[in-house]
Amino acid sequence: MKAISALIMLLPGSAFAADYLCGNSELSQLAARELAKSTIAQVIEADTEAAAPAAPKTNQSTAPAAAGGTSAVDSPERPRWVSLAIEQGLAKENDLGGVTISISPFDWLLASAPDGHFDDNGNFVATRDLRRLTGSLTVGNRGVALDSDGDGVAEDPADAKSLDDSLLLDIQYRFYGSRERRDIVVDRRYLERQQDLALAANRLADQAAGLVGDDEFDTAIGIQLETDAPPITEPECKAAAKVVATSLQHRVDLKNRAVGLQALRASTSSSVDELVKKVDGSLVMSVGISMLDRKEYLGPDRVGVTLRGVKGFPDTSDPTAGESLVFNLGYFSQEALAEGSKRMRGALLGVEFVDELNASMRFGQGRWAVSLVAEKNWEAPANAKKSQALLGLRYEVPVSDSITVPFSLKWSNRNELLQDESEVVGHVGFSINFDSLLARDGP
Amino acid sequence: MPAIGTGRIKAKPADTLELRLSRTLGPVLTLVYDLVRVGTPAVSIDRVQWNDDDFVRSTPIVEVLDKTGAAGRYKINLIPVLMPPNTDLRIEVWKNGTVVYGRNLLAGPVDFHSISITRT
Repeated sequence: MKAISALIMLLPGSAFAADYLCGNSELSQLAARELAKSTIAQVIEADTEAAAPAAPKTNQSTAPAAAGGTSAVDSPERPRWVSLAIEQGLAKENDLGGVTISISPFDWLLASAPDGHFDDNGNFVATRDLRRLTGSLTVGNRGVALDSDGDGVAEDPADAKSLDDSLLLDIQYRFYGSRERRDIVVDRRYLERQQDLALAANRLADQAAGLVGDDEFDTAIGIQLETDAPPITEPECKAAAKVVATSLQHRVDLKNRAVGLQALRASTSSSVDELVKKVDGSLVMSVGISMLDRKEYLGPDRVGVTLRGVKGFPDTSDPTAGESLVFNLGYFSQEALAEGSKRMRGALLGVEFVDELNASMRFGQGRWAVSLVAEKNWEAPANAKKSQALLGLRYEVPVSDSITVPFSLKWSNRNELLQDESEVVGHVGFSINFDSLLARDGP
Repeated sequence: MPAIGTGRIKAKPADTLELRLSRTLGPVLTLVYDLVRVGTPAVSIDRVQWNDDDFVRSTPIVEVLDKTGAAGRYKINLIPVLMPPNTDLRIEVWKNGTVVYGRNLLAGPVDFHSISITRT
């Protein structure tokens, strides 16, 4: 029997090896819970089984143009360094027919480092300041709708004839805050909470020592799990834990310790959840510059600066849910295409409220968002409006573990701002994005 | 990394035992190591507490279990508090240069982890 069990363990992908291996610790943990269950602690035990919170979807962590499409199709027209960036996974074709290349220093470092180098948290945290700077260079983007013949009707946006006909440089520097959980160990804002966790872990150690270090408890575990025994299955492990707990029913002191242990586990886990919420909801702010240089047939050149921020409001009752507010404040100056006209200047305000729904949906977490982008222009050409506004409503539905389908509904006072929408009726645009369904992982 | 052994380790007094700890993909918020002599009552004979700074200075952290030299039964109790969602703590016990016990603990609800050592 031992030989068969050992053989099963060695088989790759076997249920034993992959899913469960009951050892001293696992059996001790289960026995401690069984012992606690036999008293008043069933409720506490149930509380500690909550799943670990998932990392939140991040906002504003990279420069805007870096958020592009998913295609990685190569082309013989591209310069070699663009092809190199694509090979390294640092460039992607975007929805405007161009190619967005990351110029974030950390992305290039990650691509050139040996496999697993940044798995070590020390190596990762050492790049903390480097990760503040992100950026992208986008080449070959489609232009904007222009009324080039002056008939008062804008033509369809022109595609770039060559990649270098349109160059967009986006650089962003995160000057305040971070939502990177791995950086927490070097962030003094969370030091006090980490010290509280250290004290809680010490109390847990005291409680565990008195329970699993007890002679009778250890003997009861040893009877069920011999030193050189083959691994036992999950049902066998649970049954063994019940036998251990039953044999210790006369030890009131151990039962009390087991109850105390479960309570400490629950409270320490809650403290970790609180810490995570604090990190995920923290204020992050960055400043970005954007420079667009393109041929006249694609539209005017433009330069701008933007202040971006995000603040989270985690749900106190559900670690997987919460809201966040993203805001942008921008100023830009745009080249005048018509002779005799002045450069157009503009100020931009963007606000988006995102609500993460709880994870009770079939495949995972959905979210909805409402956004408002308003722009006020000065020195605008005579046929252009002096202001524009875009109000958007988005709902992202998870249809599988890794696929989310976004629905969006937008209203704008200027229909050219709705050019990316699938359907436009009046001033309202509607679209469903199935890109994630069609996306494929690389080889 | 594979799971190795049952966590009930037998050793002779002359055997060298080492506990080795390493972490990947996230920080260790705190980790208590407690060496307990089994008895009624149990007695804690060695306790160390580490955090991620200690892992930055030395990975793996190696704790020589020389306080288990006398014959008897001992428990290594570990209380890892790991940052969700990805932190992965590898725990290994080496006997005379060979791994006799190995487990990977992933971030999740906080719990104790216990390994038995019997010196005969």
